[in-house]
Amino acid sequence: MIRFRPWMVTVLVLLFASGVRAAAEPAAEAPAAAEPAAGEPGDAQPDALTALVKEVTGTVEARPAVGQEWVPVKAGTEMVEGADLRTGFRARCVLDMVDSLVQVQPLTVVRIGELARRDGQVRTRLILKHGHTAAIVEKERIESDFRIVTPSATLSVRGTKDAWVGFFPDTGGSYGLGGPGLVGVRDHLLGKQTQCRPGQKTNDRIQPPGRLLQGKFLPVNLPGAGLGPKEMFAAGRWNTSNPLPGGLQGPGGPPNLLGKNEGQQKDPRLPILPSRSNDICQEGNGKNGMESPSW
Amino acid sequence: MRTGLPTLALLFLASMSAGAAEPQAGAAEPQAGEAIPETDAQFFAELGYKPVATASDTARALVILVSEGEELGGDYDACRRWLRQRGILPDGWLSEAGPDEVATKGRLARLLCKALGIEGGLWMRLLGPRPRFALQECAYLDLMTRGAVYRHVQGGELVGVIDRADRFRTTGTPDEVPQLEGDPSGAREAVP
Repeated sequence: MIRFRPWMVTVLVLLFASGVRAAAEPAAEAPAAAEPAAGEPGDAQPDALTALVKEVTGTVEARPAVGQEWVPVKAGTEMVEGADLRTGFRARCVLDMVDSLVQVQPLTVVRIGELARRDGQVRTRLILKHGHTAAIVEKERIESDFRIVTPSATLSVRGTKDAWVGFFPDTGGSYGLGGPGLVGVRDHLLGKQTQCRPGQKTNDRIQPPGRLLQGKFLPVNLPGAGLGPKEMFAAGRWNTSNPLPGGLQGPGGPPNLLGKNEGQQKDPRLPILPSRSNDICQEGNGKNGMESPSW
Repeated sequence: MRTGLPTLALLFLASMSAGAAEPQAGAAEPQAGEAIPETDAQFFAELGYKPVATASDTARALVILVSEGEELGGDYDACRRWLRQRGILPDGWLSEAGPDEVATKGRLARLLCKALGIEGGLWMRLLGPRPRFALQECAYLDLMTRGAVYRHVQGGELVGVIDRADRFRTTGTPDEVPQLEGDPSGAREAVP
């Protein structure tokens, strides 16, 4: 049995007090450490930019900052950093944000979190409360750092057209790319990042592994329009050309944890289809980049 | 002691079933002096922050959805009258509910099926749009997320449902990818 002596109690109290003090003080010390030295590139003051409203359809309202009144938005209105925008039923709005064109879709609430030019680079942060937005981002002629932040993930754009984001509390976020380019999506909860190429989309819904495999490998989810009949039956299963799950890839493969594909055996005469580079992205329009099978 | 455990279990089950039957009835009480949203943009934006959607929210959102943007304001009785004229009411809930009563997923799904004319599968056609069948059908069409029929609907969830329902009605899919054309102003300035 451990007996507490007075000196042990004193040491514990001192340790606790020092911990509390250390937890309370960093806020005061941190700014001094974060300040860049004079002459460094980080000390340049950012130039504030404005977003110009190009098109308005339906009821669109905005306020310049939190606590101010919402006013209807018309084409030609300029919006500054910190402004909020909300759209009504079937209302749309196109914003020219210097490095990008952003279309705010119906039933959306969005805030311009950051819009400034720093060291020649245009930094844009759109904070999406709920709704949908789509964007064209110019990266070739402007140095740009464009991101759309939802409550669950951040979409960063690397030179692209028709990047789109949707978020609602019940369904979570969905992210995709309609045109050329590349977008990255980083999940706020897990910190995991994935990329979407043209025609791909992803979401930030967390699923248990069994459910994820079920969605990927059970014969369900590829639209038939982009696949020929041979591709449909390429893996000996119906309505999908996804590669077989590990449990069905023969000896040496990972164990089959699902148990639902037991009746669907791989045809040994057929080659194994190449696995897709990104596990999370799903095909949006049936163009999955796979070559036509030669058999 | 022998009767104590079953009694506790019965009390626990009774409290659970009572909680399921009356989903957070007090959560949706409006605060005194709360202003009624004037425009549809204000209505949906403020609805997105509400933890629970009420019957009056549901009626107003459904009127906007069915009428494709027509706004009757926050008059609950006028909204119900309008829905009754369109044949969406009576539905077994909204036609008799008070304005602050909580909307549940099953009730909302049933209203949605009647509003959009969703007929469903065999059992729903035979037995009518019962909340459970209606919710399954709406989940199948990606209009709503799956869940218990007695679970309350969040404000943001109702906004999402209205958004997806309108996309589904106009484009046939809730996953409409918008198309944008043009160049941002910065790109035009950068060209020599």
